[in-house]
Amino acid sequence: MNQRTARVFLAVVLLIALGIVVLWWSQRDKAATPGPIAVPEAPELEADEVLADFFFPGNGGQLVVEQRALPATETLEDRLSNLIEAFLLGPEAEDLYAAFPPEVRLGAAMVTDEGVAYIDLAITGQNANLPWGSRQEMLAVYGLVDTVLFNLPEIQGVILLRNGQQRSTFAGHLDTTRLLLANKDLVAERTP
Amino acid sequence: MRDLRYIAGLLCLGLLGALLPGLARAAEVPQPVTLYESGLATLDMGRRQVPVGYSVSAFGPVFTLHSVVVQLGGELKLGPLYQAHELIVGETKYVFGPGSAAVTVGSEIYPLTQAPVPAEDGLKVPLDLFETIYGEKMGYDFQWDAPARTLKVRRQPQRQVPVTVDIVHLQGVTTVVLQFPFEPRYRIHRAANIVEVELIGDRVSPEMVKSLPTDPMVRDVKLGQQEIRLVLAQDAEAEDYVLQDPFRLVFDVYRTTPTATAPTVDPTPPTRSSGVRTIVIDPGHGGSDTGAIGPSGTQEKDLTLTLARALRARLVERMPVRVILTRNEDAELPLETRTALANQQKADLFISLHLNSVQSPSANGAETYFSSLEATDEYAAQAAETENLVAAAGDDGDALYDLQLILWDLAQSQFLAQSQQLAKLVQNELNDALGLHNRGVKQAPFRVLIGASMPAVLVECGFVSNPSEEKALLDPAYRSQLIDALVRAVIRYRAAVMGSEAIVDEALP
Repeated sequence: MNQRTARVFLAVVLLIALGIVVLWWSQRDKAATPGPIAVPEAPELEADEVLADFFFPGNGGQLVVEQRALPATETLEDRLSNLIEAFLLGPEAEDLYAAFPPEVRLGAAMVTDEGVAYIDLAITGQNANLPWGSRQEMLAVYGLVDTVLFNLPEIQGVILLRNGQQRSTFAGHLDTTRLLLANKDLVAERTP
Repeated sequence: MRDLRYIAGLLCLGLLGALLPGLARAAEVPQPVTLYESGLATLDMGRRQVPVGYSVSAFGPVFTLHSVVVQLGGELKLGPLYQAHELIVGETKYVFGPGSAAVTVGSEIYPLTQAPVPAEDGLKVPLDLFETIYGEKMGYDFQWDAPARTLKVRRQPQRQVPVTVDIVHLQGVTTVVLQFPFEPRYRIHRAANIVEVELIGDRVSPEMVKSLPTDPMVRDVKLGQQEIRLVLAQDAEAEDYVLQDPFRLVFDVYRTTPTATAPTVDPTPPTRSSGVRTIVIDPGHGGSDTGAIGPSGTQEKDLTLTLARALRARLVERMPVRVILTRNEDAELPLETRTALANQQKADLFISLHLNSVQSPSANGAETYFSSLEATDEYAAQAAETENLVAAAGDDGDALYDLQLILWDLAQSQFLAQSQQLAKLVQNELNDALGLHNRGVKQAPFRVLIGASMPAVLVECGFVSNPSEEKALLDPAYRSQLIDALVRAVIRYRAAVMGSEAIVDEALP
């Protein structure tokens, strides 16, 4: 092992050590979930339904919460798939927008034992290039990620795939090579 | 217990801080390349043969650069280990280095089959680097005979190169145009009031000399067998540049001592003492990647290129800086290549120009981003907490890439304050000049900013999805205001970096 390799190895060891310290330290604040969001009124639930919060693009270029009822399912992966499919269908409110075009479908969704959700979106057809500005891309990606992480606390982060592949960006701007976490900065409180 | 945690945290941070410079250096260290064979080969120049070091990697042979440069000519400036190397041949500077399978010439990037490899007997480079530098431009052919371990170098056959000369004088500048039916191999020599274009291995075949009038700046144009010589007036100077389709070598000749009627232009060239010498402007998107599309069909890629060209012109008018565009045509360019270009050019600033869009037609205003692997500080804290989740999940993924990202983030942290400073200046100037809705300065993990080894910002100049802003962005007068605002931000940033407010008043548009 030459001196350079040794230096890189030492750096990696120290980074891992730092990560462990930060992880240990922050266990006391485990309740770090997205903050309170004003919601107009909750829908009435049937016995076999659960309430879910969806984060859709609003008029001001921010994410706005819409609450909807979803069928209750047993497994985490079923809940994840239902949630994503409902998110892709778009909002019910007229002043909110669907994050993705209608051609986008859920390809696959799975969750690892460590709580990482792998979500593959299948995109074909005329809008496959996703001619988006950076804000639109952030609203789509973080709208999906926030929806998943807020409703399924078992999931710690999301790896987003497009047509089966993890790409350097989802639509030309945002780095999607890494684990995606919730982004509260994009979320606006909904005005009545 | 709480104190113990605090001390442990401080200890770790202290250790990390002490190691930061080393980590930053480590980020530049390319991965070692496996060489299957090394030794001495023969560099066969035809009339003479000399030894040259060679090795063979999985991507093919590499040869000791220095041995070939000694034979074929050029000034080699080897940077510190693992940093950019420069080879100057004629007036052309080629920049390359270990870890990057590309060579840059000005703002052009040429891919290589493999990255140069540092070795005990000096830097070893692939054959296509020699072909890029000495091939078509210098008239050499290269052929590697692996069984005989011989690298044959031969002069290409001499060509007759037709040339048309045209001279125009307009508003104090004489423009001499040498037009060729194809790009010749040439080098430019300068001495006193002489500028000579020497054809390398080819012969000049004069087609015609259009209108050679009595010119105050160009006394004569002489066509020799292998050279074209411009004789300038004593106080004249010539700047050269190239135009394509057809290939034209153009000289703008002007007086170095301003006359009473000449415009007052600061001729000061970029100096090393300046804090901002080179700026890379990145027009977002290009080629099949249109970027956002406005309601009337305006494509982001077209507007960003228009804005970038105008910004470059305005910046060089106002300051002694070198400004390079990552693309100067409608071409697709990988995001990584854009920052690689800025790194290889040792740029002092990287400005990526974009236009925004969302589904809602009412969203408006400009916003400026500077880079972060994470979107916010809080987000960064979450990321630190969950960083190991993917690895723990058994996804071996690209661990090396993750490490490179972390190391880059550490190295980039030294530029964060400057990036933020520039982002604030840009945002303020845009808001003041255009009266836009202030969307503020933000951090986001935008891919085009990741990897930049200098202060870097991404400017969303407005929402092309908003019909009013789309219309405004198509108006040249509005764009001119927008460009002026960006120029003012750069001028103020440069003044702040240089610690001088005086240059602001002189340069502000």
